[in-house]
Amino acid sequence: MSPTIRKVFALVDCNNFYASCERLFRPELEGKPVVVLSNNDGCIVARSNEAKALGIPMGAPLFKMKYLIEKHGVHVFSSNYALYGDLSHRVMEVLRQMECNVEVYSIDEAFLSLPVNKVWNRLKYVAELRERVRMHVGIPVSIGIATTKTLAKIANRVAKKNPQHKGVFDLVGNSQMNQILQGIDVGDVWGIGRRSAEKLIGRGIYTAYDLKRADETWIRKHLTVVGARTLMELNEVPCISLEKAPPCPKSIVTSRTFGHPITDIENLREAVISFVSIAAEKLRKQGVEADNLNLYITTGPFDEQSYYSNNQTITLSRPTASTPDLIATAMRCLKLIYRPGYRYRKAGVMLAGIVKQGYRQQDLFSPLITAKEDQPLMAALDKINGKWGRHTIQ
Amino acid sequence: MTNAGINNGDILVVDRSIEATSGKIIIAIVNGELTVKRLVQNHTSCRLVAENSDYPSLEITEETDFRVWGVVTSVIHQF
Repeated sequence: MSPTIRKVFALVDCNNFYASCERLFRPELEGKPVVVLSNNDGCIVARSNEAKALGIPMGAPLFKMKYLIEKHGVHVFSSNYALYGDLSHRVMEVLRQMECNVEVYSIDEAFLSLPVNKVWNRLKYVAELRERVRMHVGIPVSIGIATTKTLAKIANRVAKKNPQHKGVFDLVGNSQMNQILQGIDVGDVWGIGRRSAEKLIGRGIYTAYDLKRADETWIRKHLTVVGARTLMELNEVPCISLEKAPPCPKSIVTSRTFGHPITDIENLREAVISFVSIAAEKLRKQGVEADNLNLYITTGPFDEQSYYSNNQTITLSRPTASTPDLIATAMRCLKLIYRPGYRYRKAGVMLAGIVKQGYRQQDLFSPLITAKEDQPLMAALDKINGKWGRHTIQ
Repeated sequence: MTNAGINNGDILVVDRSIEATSGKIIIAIVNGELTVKRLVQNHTSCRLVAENSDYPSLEITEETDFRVWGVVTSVIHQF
């Protein structure tokens, strides 16, 4: 380890985040298997430890797991992104109260930059941080510390997978470093995708340790500078710094399970309009625009006699964050997929293809439109809704 | 919890960051179920008081499956 390092990274990662969120308000599910489904209730996107232990794989389609779920009484939740977003925000807020250098990396992960100080007991400090998040929000987190982000990810994994560490692990100056890296598959290293992992395995590089010792020239040639950076990071040379500006989100989703099933298109229309309004407001808050919209509607997952689920994506002629344009698009989607005679239990809107405002390509066939056109209208709308409450104007 | 001014259907404001001390109204988890009670603690015993004569108090012993979920700070009563 280089003696000149002044900062170390800590990765705070919420354990089984979506499952933990659902369990927070259902304490009777503590210690029981819980899974959360993707939009459309198609696949399993989150599992509690108990569900993992039953052998339910990540991303498995629900119907393939029905046997296991029924046999073991696994609790199944439709995803509730409004809840997860809110709790994520609360977790990050607690971290920000304690630390000024917080990079929110994803809905359930944040990197912190901690000062290096001999007197200061880092492990004790992050254990307190962990306890604070548990008490103030109620979500269990794991914290890994290392000299680089890539190693902090690995430290976090160690913290999470080995109960004896009580959710915190420090890799800085750790004499077990190489043994730990030997226990990590190369495909599980941060920044190594499936294709890269295949190439590495073909070359006899199986573990994080093998990658750490690999020939940099070969890595640079076959895995580009990105791979070379990972190799450096495994050797405790920090190449990826803390980024405090949040990156463009990949997508914005608003969906709800209805309290009562909806059958007629009028009520469905109303629900969809409110989803689009919320999603469009989120776009504008982040200064971004979306170029495609996906709408889905579904009956309950177990409504076997009359199950219907469908979705439709429409690509807009140009990226937009304008509520009326997005509503009009969503209405076109709804018209295409709505079938009468079903009891709809859930609907959702996903905006994707997100770009920063002003980065958009002009459409050859649409009139030339500058970004400013409907911005004053949208700004007024957000201001009114901010003051009088959401849904005052849609 | 009617004696504490909390009625059925009211909305409670809960602060998880406050420490639950004797006399505070808390959301507790007892046997995996959420419940609202007043925490009454002294040197020898710990009780969850229902603040409603129709419901008995609950003695907390070492065997009770009990945790504090949060501390109630306000109640919003709907007319």
